[in-house]
Parts: sequence; structure tokens; C-alpha cells
Amino acid sequence: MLTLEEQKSINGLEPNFWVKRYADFLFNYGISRVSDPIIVEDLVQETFLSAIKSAKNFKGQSTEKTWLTAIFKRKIVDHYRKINSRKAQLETPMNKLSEERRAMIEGGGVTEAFEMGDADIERQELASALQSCIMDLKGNQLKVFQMKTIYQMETEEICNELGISASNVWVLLHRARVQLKNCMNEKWYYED
Amino acid sequence: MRIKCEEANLICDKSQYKDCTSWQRLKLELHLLFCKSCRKYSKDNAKLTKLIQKNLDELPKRCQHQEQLFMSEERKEELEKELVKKC
Repeated sequence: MLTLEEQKSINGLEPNFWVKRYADFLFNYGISRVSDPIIVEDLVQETFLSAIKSAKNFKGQSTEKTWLTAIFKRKIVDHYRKINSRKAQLETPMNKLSEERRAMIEGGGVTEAFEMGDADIERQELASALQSCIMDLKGNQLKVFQMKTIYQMETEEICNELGISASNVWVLLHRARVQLKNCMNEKWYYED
Repeated sequence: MRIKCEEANLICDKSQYKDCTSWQRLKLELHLLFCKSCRKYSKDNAKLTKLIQKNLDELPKRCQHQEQLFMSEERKEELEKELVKKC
């Protein structure tokens, strides 16, 4: 057990402040990539715990926040890999695979499977980012966007439903789309 | 035949939902020949439409529940205690 003073000096890291400083930031970053809040909370927890374990290796070349974010990103990727390999197992039971293929998978030499995993991760990340950007829209902007884009309603139906004019619908849609584009640019190209 | 950027963008928005006439479409195309910023707007707009189309199967389900934006306070407290214990 280390004292508080010693804690502060683990390569400049301050684990006792991590929750206060970074829990919300990481959660918010994660929720746009993994849509289940319980899983995101688990991933934040795993991140902090494994960060403590490897605190000795922290070289101080990046900030504490960047370092934790990097670990968190890896946890997200691992999470999707786990899901994908679980899916793959269900789809192709091991006993049905040829001996050769089985040895390859168990020996870890499955680049093919990992490449597919990455594409899937990217697709899921993108869908989550889009979802969270849409949910950031407010009031009638959100309503009009969902009605028109997701549920593909006619403009006239939307006018009747919300009691607004057609040109109003288009103004709201325009603003919603501009906000979405900006949001997607931030999230998708986001690097801390 | 000549239209302002504002109208061009409106037509562009409408065309994302196949809600414009071919005459409007023509006016837009003509405008785009001369207007760089509207060309960018059109390109980005089409990109967004494509992205939405790709995810259209999943979006209704995903957008049904309002998202939780922060970590729950209970969970934070638990985690804080655990961290202090670990270090």
C-alpha cells in the first residue's frame, strides 16, 4: 500500500483523481461507440484498473488524459473482438472445422478473421457515432429529422403531425443536417 | 435560371429525399458549375445521405431510447473506492 504522497508521484499519474477527472469524459467518448451504457461503464472501470497496473510503464510522453484515452480505445476494440469471436464460434462450431483450420485458429494465426473484425468494428463505431449525433438534435429538429429520414414520412404528413408549414420542415431539416455533418466530423475524426 | 446559394442548398436538401422536380435539379446543377461552396455542401450532403442509407436498418431501433450521457454516480463512487484500494 502506498501513501497518498507516493501515489501522486507514480510517474506523475494521480489515480485517486481519475474518476473525478476522466470518468465522464471517457464514458461520453465510449457511448458513441458502444451503445450499451452498462458495457461502457465496465470498460471505463477496466481501463482505470489496468492503467493502475501499468502505471510504472507510463513515460510521461503524453498527458494522463491522452494515455488513459488510448487504453480506453484499446478496451473498446477488445470488446468488439470478443463479441465477434463469440459470434464466429456460434456460427462455426470448432468440432466442424478441419484439423488444420482449428490448429491455425488456436495457434492465433488468423489474420483473416481479425481483418473482418476490424471492418465490423469500424461499421459499428460509425453507426454508434451517427446514432449519438442524431440523439444530440433537439426538439422539432430531432422530430422532423427522424420522421423524414428514418421513418421516411411525406413532408405533408409531417406538417400535419407537427402543425408547421412545409418551408418550416425544410428549414428544420437543413439545420439538423448541418449539425449532423459537423457532429460526425468531430466524432469520426476525433483524436485526443 | 440563376439561383442564389440559399435556394441551391434547399434544392440540394430536397433532392436528398427525392423531393425536387427535374427543373429544380437542373437549376441546381447549373449553380454548382459556378459555386464552389455549394459544391462542397452538395458533396457533404450526399455523403451524409449515403451513411444514413447504410444504417437505415439499425437506426430506428437505435434512436428509440434516449441516451445516457454520463457515468452513473453510484458506479463512479464504487470505482473511486476501488481505485483508492488498489493504489
